[in-house]
Amino acid sequence: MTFLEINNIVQTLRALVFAAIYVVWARGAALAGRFDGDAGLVLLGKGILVLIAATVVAGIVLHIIGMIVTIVAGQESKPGEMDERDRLIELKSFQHGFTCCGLGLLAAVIALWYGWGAIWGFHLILAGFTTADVLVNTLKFRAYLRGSP
Amino acid sequence: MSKGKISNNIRRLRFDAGEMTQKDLAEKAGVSRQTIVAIEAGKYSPSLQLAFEIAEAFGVPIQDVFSFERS
Repeated sequence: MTFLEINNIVQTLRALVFAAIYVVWARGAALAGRFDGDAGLVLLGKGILVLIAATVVAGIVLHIIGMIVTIVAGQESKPGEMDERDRLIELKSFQHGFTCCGLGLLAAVIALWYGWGAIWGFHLILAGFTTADVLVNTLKFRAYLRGSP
Repeated sequence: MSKGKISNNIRRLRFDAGEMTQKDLAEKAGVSRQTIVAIEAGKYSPSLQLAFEIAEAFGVPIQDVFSFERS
């Protein structure tokens, strides 16, 4: 497997692990009633910001570690270098990812319309982004296995 | 646009070029070995620029590498 293929698996696992950690934290906070009222929104904002920062940092760190391991193992001289097929695979996968994000946003707006509250709205948006993250990497990996975008 | 299939003679041309490896061809064309594998297997149709790069790597005209069959 190439660096790009392995990186897709690692990034999918990274997205799932961070989503699971967030769900556990958010469930605990919800059961304890810490999401209630305006203070709940403040806590949610902090939680989502920490999640975004941790996800971005972990993604970059895992990417760099993967590149170093690939170079040290002598498998590829320029890991991560993309050609036209890689870019096409990425573009097509992102297309589905954007749709997923849009659906999350739409679900959030519909939830607000039905009076579900801002906490639910934000969580539906977050679910859309997380699903998109996993979907993009899974579709990329599938495309690499097939050989075509 | 009518449907068709782009086929190639890359395997034969590599053989004619003294069993040029897919890695060598990939380096000459400036793409990854996996992309050459996908093109050779007919799973990926390259851009016009890459098609010219591959033809140039073999020193033959593009029509000797790729052909289009209308279905």
